[in-house]
Amino acid sequence: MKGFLASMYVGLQIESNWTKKWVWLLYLAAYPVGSFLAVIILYGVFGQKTGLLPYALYGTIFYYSLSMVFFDMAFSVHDDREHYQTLKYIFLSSTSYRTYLCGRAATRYLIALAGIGINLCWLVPVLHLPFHPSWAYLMAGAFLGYLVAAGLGLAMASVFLLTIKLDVDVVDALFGGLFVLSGALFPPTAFPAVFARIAEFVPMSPFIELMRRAISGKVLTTFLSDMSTVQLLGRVALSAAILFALGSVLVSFGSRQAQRKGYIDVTTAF
Amino acid sequence: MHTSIQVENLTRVFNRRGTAPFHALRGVSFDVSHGEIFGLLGPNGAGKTTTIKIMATLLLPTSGRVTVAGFDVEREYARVRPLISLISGGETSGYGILTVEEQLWMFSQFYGMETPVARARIEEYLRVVGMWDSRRQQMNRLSTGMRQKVNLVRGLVTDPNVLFLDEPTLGVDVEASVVIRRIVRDWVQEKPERSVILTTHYMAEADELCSRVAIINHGLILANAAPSQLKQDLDSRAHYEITLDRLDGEQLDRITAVMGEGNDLVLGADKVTNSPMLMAHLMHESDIARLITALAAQGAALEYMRKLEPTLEDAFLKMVGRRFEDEEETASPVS
Repeated sequence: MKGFLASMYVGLQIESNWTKKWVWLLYLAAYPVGSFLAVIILYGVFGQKTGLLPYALYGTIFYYSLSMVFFDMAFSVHDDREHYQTLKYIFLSSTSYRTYLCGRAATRYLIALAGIGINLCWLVPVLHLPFHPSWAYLMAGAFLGYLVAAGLGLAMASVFLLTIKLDVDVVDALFGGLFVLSGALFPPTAFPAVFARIAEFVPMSPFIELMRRAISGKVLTTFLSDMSTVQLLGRVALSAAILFALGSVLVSFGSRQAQRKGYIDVTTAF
Repeated sequence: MHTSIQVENLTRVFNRRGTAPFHALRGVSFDVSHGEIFGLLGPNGAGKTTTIKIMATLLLPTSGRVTVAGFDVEREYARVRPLISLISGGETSGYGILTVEEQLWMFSQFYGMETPVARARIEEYLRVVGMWDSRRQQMNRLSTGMRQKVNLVRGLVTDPNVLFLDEPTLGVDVEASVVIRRIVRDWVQEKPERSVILTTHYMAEADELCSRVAIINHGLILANAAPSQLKQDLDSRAHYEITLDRLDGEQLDRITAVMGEGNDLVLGADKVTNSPMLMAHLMHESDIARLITALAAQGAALEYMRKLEPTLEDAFLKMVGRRFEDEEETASPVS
């Protein structure tokens, strides 16, 4: 636990220590806006008649929160190995590398959620978004969503542990692909049936739909509408358990392989 | 004396695409006792960093076995890690945005230390290295020497039993080097179960700190003994440099005859004063008394005399056949 909290602290310092606290708070509020703006223009201006703005905006917001965890975990490997040159010292400590990664990403997640909270304060009234939050579902969903993203992030970190040159394109492609497939931006039911079927099994889909319902208080499209909110929660919990366990196994395997190959302290001056 | 580290027939091969496999270690064996500072000396690419990485559980061996405090580094690395610390020189590791104090506290937490204990140790060691006043400075504002001192404190705060020092004074100024060496020497004497493995390019550093050194080259241990033993093995004769008020060739011949076979005398001149300077290579140290008597008999008065001791570098040169070079470490898995 001490290691987890210390990792969270590092994460917070890395995120916030580059400027004055008030500038950082401003940045915290402004940073996610870029992600939402395209959605607001797409559905709020051009696609106003579709009525999909709440669906797409909430979807994008919560996908954004997961992507922060996912990206942070993946890039921490390179950051610590190449930039800070601390990866070997973290590996040699009593804290497991998985715990360290989870701690750093947890901070990123909380920061992302804080950014979302700040922005919802103006998005909801300005855009007349449906807002009838179920706090219990929101909190449970937020926790399980973190585990889903952490599982995927750990899996990606295991790949990066065995990669000595940073390949941003791979993460970008994965991020983009999952964004479309998870139904964050478009209801998958609007596309051919096979696409909707695939989207149902994307690990992030049930989380995003759960959070949409938890915050808006209603089912916004037919995507996953056959499932009750409790069923969705169960599905997210199952995804979280499976993905986190898988990610943990993969990062252990990646660590051992990196130890075998001598990649833990390798620097390439990328 | 109890064994702290045991290295048995260690090999490590790096397979790199497009090139032949690189044999970084070819059967390295040695052991380190409690209370010992053990030096690994060798030119770049000799295998010393590879050896230290394997001992510190950062790298797996291709074959062979290493135990630290009785635990196998390959299978029981989770039990080895809390007992060791690694400090590498010549790097700029650390979170630049953290202060010195934050950085050290953070690593103490990774070892599960109680915060009050950690803070007390951080203060103790920061005072020892003379950096207590810099505790609130950000890491990225420190000089190389200061960063290396923080790196040393990071390694010591967690109270390890074994300290791996990989070129700890590389790129560090003289003052910081002296401080680091003093701390290491004091640290290992504080508790009987402690030991240090040191790799260094600086022969004087190894000579000063190490109770034993292993000279490694091309992945093989060429020698493993106390520095004094290595120097003695290099040349058992006693060497003297003697400046005299006068001495000519004829007088030298007579003295050579008196001294007998095996004692070599070479006459030259002092570069500064131009006085006659005699280089004496004697079979036994006690022969110096006979030599001084013989010189006096020839009417030559001593102006200056000193005994020439072989250095660890001489021993190293004899075994490795070259000085340390600034070539790249060839054992890197990336190159």
